[in-house]
Amino acid sequence: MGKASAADLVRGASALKSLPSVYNRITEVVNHPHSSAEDIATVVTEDPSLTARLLGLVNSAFFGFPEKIDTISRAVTIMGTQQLCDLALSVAVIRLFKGIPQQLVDMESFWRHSIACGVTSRLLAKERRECNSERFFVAGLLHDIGSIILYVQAPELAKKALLRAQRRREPLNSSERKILGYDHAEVGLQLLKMWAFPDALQHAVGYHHAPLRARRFPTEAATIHIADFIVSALEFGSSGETRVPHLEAKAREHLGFKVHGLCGLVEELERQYEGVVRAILLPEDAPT
Amino acid sequence: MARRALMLQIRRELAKEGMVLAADLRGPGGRFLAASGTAITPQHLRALEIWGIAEIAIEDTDSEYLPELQPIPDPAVEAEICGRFVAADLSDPFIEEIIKICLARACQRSAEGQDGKG
Repeated sequence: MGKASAADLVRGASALKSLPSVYNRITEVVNHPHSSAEDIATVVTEDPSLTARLLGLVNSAFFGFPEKIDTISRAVTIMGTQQLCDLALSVAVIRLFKGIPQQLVDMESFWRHSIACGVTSRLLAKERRECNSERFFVAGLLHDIGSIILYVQAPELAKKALLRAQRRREPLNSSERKILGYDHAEVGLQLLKMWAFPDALQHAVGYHHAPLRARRFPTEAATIHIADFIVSALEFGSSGETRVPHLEAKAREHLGFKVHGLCGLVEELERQYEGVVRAILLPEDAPT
Repeated sequence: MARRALMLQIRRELAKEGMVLAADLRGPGGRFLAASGTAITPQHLRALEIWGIAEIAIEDTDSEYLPELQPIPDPAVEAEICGRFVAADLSDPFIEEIIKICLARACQRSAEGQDGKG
């Protein structure tokens, strides 16, 4: 395969043309002005696997609700419709990539890295009192989604980039740019654009290695950049990168995140992480 | 209580007069400040502050501050961790702090007999 552009690669991934229909139906119900929590619950519970994952997530330390939440309608009431919609989106995207070849990357490790980045992004957003911190979780969860497209659509070039990064001890995104002319962040941006995801999500993913270039959503991009750095450093899974990515000190300054906040953040990440992994990476045939 | 031959890493604030250095004390850029085996004096405590040294290695001779201490990691593990930060500015306090957390986690994994990572 020759050097296709990032947009070409995404267009070529025919299986990814659209998100699972359940997500579209949830969005429709959420956006309808007269929808109730029951209406949303009816759509979600049509999909037992999605229901199990969402209930697992809302009952984990990620939310830390004092009582067990055993129905989706109760989850909607407590969390809010947009938050539940965002979490449903996360779960839907992960399922979309189930069963892809694993020659270049261990997918469980990939999603573990992505989940840790999502949890950390949400913690950073909460620290800044950003509204709808779940959206930051989604952005963190999807930040390396472009890597999967590269591994599936351009495996030879992706492999060259991985080998070059290891041999030259340089960050993977730099190797990708040298070999392909763009990196996995750009591919991720093109995918989210194709799916018509909100601009803030597109930019958070697209600029997570170059947050200072994100003119429209610098806070989102800086948050994912810092979260990716932290979880890569602490080796929470891996998306193929064997080194710790470059850290833009100015992105940390932009967020106002202080050095002394790091220990507490890591402790909270460790407290929430396994519960989210268990909920999201639940086997398909697990009982609901 | 029998004296244990352990080397412990402690934060500067926990350093006390009379503790014994378990490694040479060096400032930024490797500047030599005191030799391993030296008992800490008030001058040393002041030097730690002046040079902004966040942690020191001491011999474990007393148990009263043990809960606050962290064991020194295996040098090979430390080298492996630091080697992963190829694109990092190691003088950035944020990077220093996260490397410390990585080392503490590696020590904890080692103490728990785990090889696996997060």
